Amino acid sequence: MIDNITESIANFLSYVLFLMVILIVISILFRFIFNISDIAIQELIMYLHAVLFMFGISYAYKEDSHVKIDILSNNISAKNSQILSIIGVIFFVMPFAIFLIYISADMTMRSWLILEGSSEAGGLNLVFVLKTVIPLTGILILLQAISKLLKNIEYLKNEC
Amino acid sequence: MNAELIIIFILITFVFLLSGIPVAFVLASTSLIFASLGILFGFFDFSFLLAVPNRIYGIMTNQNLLAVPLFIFMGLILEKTKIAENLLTSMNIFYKDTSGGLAISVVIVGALMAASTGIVGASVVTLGLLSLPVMIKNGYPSSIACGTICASGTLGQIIPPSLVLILLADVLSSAYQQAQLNAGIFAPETVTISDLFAGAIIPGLLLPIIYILYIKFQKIECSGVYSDSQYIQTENLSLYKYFIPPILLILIVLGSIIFGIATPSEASALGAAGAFFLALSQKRVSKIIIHTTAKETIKLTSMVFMILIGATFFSLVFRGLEGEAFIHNLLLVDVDNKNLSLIIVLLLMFFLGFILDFIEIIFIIIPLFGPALFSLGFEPIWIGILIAMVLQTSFLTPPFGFALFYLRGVAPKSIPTFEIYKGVYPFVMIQILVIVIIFLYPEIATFLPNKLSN
Repeated sequence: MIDNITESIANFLSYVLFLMVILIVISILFRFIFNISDIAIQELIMYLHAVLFMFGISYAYKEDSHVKIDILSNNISAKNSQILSIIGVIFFVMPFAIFLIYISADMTMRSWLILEGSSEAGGLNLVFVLKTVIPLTGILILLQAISKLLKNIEYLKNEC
Repeated sequence: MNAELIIIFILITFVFLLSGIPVAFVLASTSLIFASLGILFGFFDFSFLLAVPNRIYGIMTNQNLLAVPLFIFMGLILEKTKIAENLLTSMNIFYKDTSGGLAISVVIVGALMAASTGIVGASVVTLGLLSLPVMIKNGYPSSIACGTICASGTLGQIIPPSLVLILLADVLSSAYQQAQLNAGIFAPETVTISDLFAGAIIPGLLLPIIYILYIKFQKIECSGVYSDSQYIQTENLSLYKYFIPPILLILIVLGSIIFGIATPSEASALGAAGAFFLALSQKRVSKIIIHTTAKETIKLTSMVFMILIGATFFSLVFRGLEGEAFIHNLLLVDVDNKNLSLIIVLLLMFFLGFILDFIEIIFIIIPLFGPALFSLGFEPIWIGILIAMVLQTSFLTPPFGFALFYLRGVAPKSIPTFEIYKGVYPFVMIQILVIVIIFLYPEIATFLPNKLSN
């Protein structure tokens, strides 16, 4: 179930990527032809980029594409690699995700209270939404970590 | 200052890094665990961790880093739609009759693919799959064939628009500004992506040229089985169709950045759009390919940024332990020769390159050592190019170089690993030679950027 959520977020993000490319190309055309540049568009592109790589972290985790150094662990048995994955989830991924949610919640809340806007005139007044991306990223990573953990445990159960 | 604690912190982090758990999470959580112990025993102040959300927000709103997903996207489109591959095959037609011609075309295509995709793993694997069998069939010694492929594949790190240079520019710039602020300069100068791109051009041309000279010098006999190889399907390969368009695209993207017509992120978006239309015009686009390319881009991008976030945790905790003063003493007080300090840092990066990816090295080492180095008055562009070259060399050096692992993965079992090592050594020597030349004559790196900024 969690995997499906992550997968559909990734599908959504691939559209974000296209949108980013299209918006930048359009803004370049506008700059060259009409000599106008719109701060709101620039900020929208920046927001899309932030959403892209932040929400993509849990997808990259699901697909196992976060770099790891496996010179010591590439010859271990399938069972041990599941155990290693469990250790990774419990001691390294979950603490990070939980801390991220905890530490960014306060900043995000304060931003919502004042409905924080852009620091530039004519910018997008959605800074509070952008800041919400940080705790949401933490939640997505945590969910994906739980899914991994359940799968690893399932595997070890079948093994025994 | 707790020198012992800092050393313990670094050692523990490295031990966990080697465990095979994703590096980015290890960096973040080891720092957190160490910080919590520190708070418990009173040697760490929690307020350092309060900076985390703002740091992450800073990464999210960093305009320079926009170029990262876009260049990855452009490179992956060129790779997945086989445009890069056709570039290699059509290139071979030029050189099929000269001595060492095949190897020379591998070097040139390696350099071109470097400029288009900039992903070391991808270019070594592609070159290895496409050229290694042909070179062997034509009587090339397997050592020379393997060495050429590995070396050409790593050119992606130094030839712009490489990911290494984009990330380096960002990190170097903040280290440089930090050093200037520490020295009381409150309107600090920066290092831009275009500066580093411009600085990398001469070294990036120099390397393939020396590679080619070396291959020429080997006087390889071509046995001439070449023409009947099924691998060259000349009927489908027209130069105009497969060679000129991608080259033009790369030149436009690079040129617009270096001459300041477009920002790196704009140029990278144009490059991605251009690559897409190029693929479309060659009828190589399917919905599935584009979809997988986009998702692959998201994976790689998030991987890069997650390491950046993990490294942020690491450097905050490092700073909380007063690690900066520690590094400062190490580099500036204990070693009183500024060139020696630089060489020590470069050597450290070289050896770390055996176990860590360049992204981790850039994000961990430069924030730690950069400000101290820059306080000695080094030219940031020069340092940037030296770092990029050292990392590239490290990727090529047996027995741990990443490029060698990638090639080993696709090379036939009949080629002993030792042959690959043997073939790579001369190229490592060439690398070291060029690094020494740039070290002695910084103008090689700084001439173009200075010329362009005037």
